[in-house]
Amino acid sequence: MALYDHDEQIMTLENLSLIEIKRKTSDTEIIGTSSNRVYEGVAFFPTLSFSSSPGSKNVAFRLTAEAIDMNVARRQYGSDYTLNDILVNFRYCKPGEILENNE
Amino acid sequence: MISLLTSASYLSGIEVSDVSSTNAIMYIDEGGPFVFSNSDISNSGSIINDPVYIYRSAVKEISNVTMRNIAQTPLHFKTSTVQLVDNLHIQNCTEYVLIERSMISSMQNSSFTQMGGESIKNGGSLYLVRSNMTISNSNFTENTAIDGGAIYFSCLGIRKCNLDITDSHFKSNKAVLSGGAIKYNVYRPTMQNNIFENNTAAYGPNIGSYAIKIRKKNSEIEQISLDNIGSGVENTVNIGKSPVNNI
Repeated sequence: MALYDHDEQIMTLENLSLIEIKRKTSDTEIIGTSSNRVYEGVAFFPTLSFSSSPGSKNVAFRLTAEAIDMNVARRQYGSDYTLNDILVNFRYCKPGEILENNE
Repeated sequence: MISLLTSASYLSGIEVSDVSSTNAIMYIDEGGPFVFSNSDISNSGSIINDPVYIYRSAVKEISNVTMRNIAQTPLHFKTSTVQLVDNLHIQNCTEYVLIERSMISSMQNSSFTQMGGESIKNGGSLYLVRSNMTISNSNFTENTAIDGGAIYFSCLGIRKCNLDITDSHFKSNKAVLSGGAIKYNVYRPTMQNNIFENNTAAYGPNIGSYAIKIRKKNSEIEQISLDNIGSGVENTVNIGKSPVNNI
């Protein structure tokens, strides 16, 4: 994932700040490393999985970034400015997969 | 030195060159509304104070003024208003024009050339701090700074600031770090019909600002959506097992 500015440019001078993925509701889980530091504006999440009810759609997970100052962004873009969530569409279980705790 | 502490004046036909004084050439405090025109200021090497310092004043017009080879901030406005700047040409100065908490209603037909340097932090030719300004038909050429090669627009105070730039040309300006032509830290300038040509920076060759969003690298889709995800299953396609997959 990458940090972008208004002009769709990656923030290539941004290093070591965190991008984090958090769950928004208690019926979801994030497994694996959910926060990573950016290097030249880009962070990678190579070992990450999401859990929720199989078949559920548009399950939202929150994205945050230390490098994004929401107070500054809201002065420019309005008080309701927010970052987009990650939306996950879960499939149903495949043969052999086990449903535990409805996940 | 010209010190103007009263009102309603014309400052015209001033020619100052090869200045060796350490004082400002013009220091105007609570002056105006006055006109400053048809003047040429050049080659001030050892001035400690800003050569032209306009403080708490109302300026009706600055026109046909040239400033060259000045080893300082050539022009400094603080808590002042300026109705019109027309044909102001500044070149080869080691610092920027500093505009602090001021209003420049219109600047037109002006040029800023070879100002600043790689040790100048903010704005090679113009450094606006909590100010409002309208710029049109002006040229910014070969100016240099660490951030904002030609213009740095700062507005960290409570009040909103506006910078409007139209029909202007930014050519060969350079920022060591961000915003080869323009850098802003809160409010985005409104820009129309400008030309950006050969400006350079480590980030933002023409315009540098700040991060406002996160999305997949090299994706044009704003929303990050993952489909067909197995719950609790590491997803090698959509999430990525290596940096190649870019999320």
